[in-house]
Amino acid sequence: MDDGIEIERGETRGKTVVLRVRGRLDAKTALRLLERAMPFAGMGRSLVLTLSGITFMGSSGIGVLLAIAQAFQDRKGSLRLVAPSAAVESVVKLLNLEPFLKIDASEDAAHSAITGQASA
Amino acid sequence: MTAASQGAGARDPVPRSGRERPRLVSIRWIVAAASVFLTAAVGLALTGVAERNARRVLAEAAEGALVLQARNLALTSADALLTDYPELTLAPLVNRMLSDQKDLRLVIVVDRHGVIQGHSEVRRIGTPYTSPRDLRPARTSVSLDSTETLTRNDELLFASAPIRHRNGEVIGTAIVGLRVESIERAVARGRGEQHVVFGVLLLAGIVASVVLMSLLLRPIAALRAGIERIGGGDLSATLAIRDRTEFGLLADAINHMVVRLRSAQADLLERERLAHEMQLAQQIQRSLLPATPVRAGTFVVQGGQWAATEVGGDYYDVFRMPDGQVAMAIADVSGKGLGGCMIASMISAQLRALRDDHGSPAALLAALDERLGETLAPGSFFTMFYGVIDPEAGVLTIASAGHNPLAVYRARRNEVEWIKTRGIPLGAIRGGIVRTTLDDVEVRLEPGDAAVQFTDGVSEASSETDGEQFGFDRIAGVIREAAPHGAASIVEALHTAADRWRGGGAPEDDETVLVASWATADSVKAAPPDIADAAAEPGLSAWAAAQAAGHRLELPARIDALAGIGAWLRGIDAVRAWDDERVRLAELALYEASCNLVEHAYRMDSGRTLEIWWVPDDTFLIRDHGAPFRPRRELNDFADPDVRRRGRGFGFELIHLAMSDVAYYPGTIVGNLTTLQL
Repeated sequence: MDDGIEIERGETRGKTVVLRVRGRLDAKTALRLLERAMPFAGMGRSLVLTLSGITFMGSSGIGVLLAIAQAFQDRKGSLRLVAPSAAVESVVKLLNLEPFLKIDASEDAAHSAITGQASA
Repeated sequence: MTAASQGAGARDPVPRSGRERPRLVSIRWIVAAASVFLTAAVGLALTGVAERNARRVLAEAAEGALVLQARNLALTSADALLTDYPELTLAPLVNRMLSDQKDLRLVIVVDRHGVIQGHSEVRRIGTPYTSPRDLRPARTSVSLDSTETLTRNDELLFASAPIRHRNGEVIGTAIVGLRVESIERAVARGRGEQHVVFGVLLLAGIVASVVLMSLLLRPIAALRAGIERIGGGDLSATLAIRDRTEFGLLADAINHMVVRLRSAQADLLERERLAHEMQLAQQIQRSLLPATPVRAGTFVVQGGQWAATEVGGDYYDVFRMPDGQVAMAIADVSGKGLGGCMIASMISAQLRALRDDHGSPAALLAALDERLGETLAPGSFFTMFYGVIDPEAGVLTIASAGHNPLAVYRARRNEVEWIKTRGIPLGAIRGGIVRTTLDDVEVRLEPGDAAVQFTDGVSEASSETDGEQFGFDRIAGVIREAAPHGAASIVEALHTAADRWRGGGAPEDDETVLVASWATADSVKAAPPDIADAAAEPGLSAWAAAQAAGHRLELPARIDALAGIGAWLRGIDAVRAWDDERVRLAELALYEASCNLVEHAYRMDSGRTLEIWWVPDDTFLIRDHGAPFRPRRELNDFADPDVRRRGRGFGFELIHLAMSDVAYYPGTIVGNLTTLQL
């Protein structure tokens, strides 16, 4: 683990990139996720972030998730969060961010949601 | 993960710390194996080619010989065929041929009618000749007459030649057959020798490569030992490897690296030393400044300083004189940092030594100039203001060496007037000339009046937008508004106004304000409650409770150290019994609050520490010694996409949502306290 966060690339499906994040998403490590995810935003690409392995998330982490979501949305894509751990869900619920962060139970569900959106 | 994604994706590098190193595979064995492989391949190829060539040569020779024998047989059997009983003459001929040449399998003489006249098997003589089945023409480079043939099947090679009468007429056919396997036997004889040679070469190749590699790799052991030494921190010795191969280059490069590391290490140590000295200097400077307001009669003298990021150079002091008077001094030293702080402490020492002897501010400043002129470095000068208040007479006597004019608030007229004085900065000109430029000025005050001094950091605070200076007029305006509320209000108001003027960034110059006000009953009532006293009470009792029964965690004030909060929490027995969500919320709030302190109060000063306490059952307390600050809680409108794009600033809100109650107590006697309640 690099400073407490590990980001792994999953299999890309069509225009959707998959990243799996494990460890801490805090003031020290959140920037790493931002740097990793942002280059994919553009040309209608979408991002699936699997967060089941997150052990802690702070304000920097939720901020980065919101910023990534907005960046993808601005460029005609979307961000979907998959199986967020309890640490992530706590913060999302505390700040009532459900309308702004889409959550799915599995990567397959996320992919379906994205293609469903694209064809809609 | 499927093979496809393994190839396509870029994995973040995962350092393999703590995992066992894979078993070492020596280069010399790799090279030896490679050379074995190559030699074997080359050897096999060569022997294969050689064998093919040999086979061809031998085959050609055998074919040629066979054809000659057929011709020979044709010649020698010509006369016999013309006799009445050819078989009698031919039989010995045939048998002799067969016994002479062990490889010959068949010798046959056939007459013009196709009847066998000569054959090694007696029974066949007189029978018609039938050629063996499955004969096919043999490809050969032997040149054949049109009447001669060379044919073969899997077992035998046949040559036939026509038997001619003296007059050229064909009277029969001579046929000889050779076992094909005899050729193979000849080839096989050569093969054995080849194998031996091949084996010897292979062995020699392995030995040679192992020996060569061992020689070349000798420096590796020395390199490794040297690198490990360096890695362990020993930068004293360099690698003494004289090698003409790439290892020599490597050793050189490592030696250069060691030299650079040494100087970098020296730099680092030097910087740490300086940083440590800065910290000490800061502590010293803070200890020089008067902490609380000084009251003399109905006068209140209050000061405040906001240092620029490094150690400050401004000096101010307030002290009682033996006859009930109160002295106030303020000085602005040129340049900031360590040098300024040193001068400030020199001024403080000299002032305390001289003040009792000189009733006149001008005389005191002149004496100060003389004393300090001896020790100050050339070019170090400073402006200074010195005043003495006689509380009974209500008179303030002042002298100023090049400092700002004194602002005096007149309560009766509700106006601010500026008192300018003669004087040039102390230390500007050596030789005591300053004495002649200084004058005492008496300022008569009335109840409600206030005398305000400050340093350039206030008057020259530049605006964020266009760099315009705050200026004396604005200072006068602020004083007018705040003066009715007392000395502390003026100090606070000037600082806040200058801050806002600057746009809230860090000050470039130290801001120091010193106020002497004649308190009236009204102004005392109108002053806001002393923040330090009343409001700190709940924080201090939480602190006391923590001391009595709490669990403590001390952390360096660094963002990366804060990750230890979770482990500490979960290490407390009682907390481990909480449900997970409760622990998560506690960790979240403590982490966010600590981050704020590290970023704002300590301004990323990692040398400090902060303490976190858990006080049973549901209270947490954080103590820090950074600059006191009260966070402004702002609610974020997440529906605004710009807020989401910004992606930061959500920490405060999280703290307040995770906890049922949060309170801040900056600047108490034990430091800054924050209490958080689940």
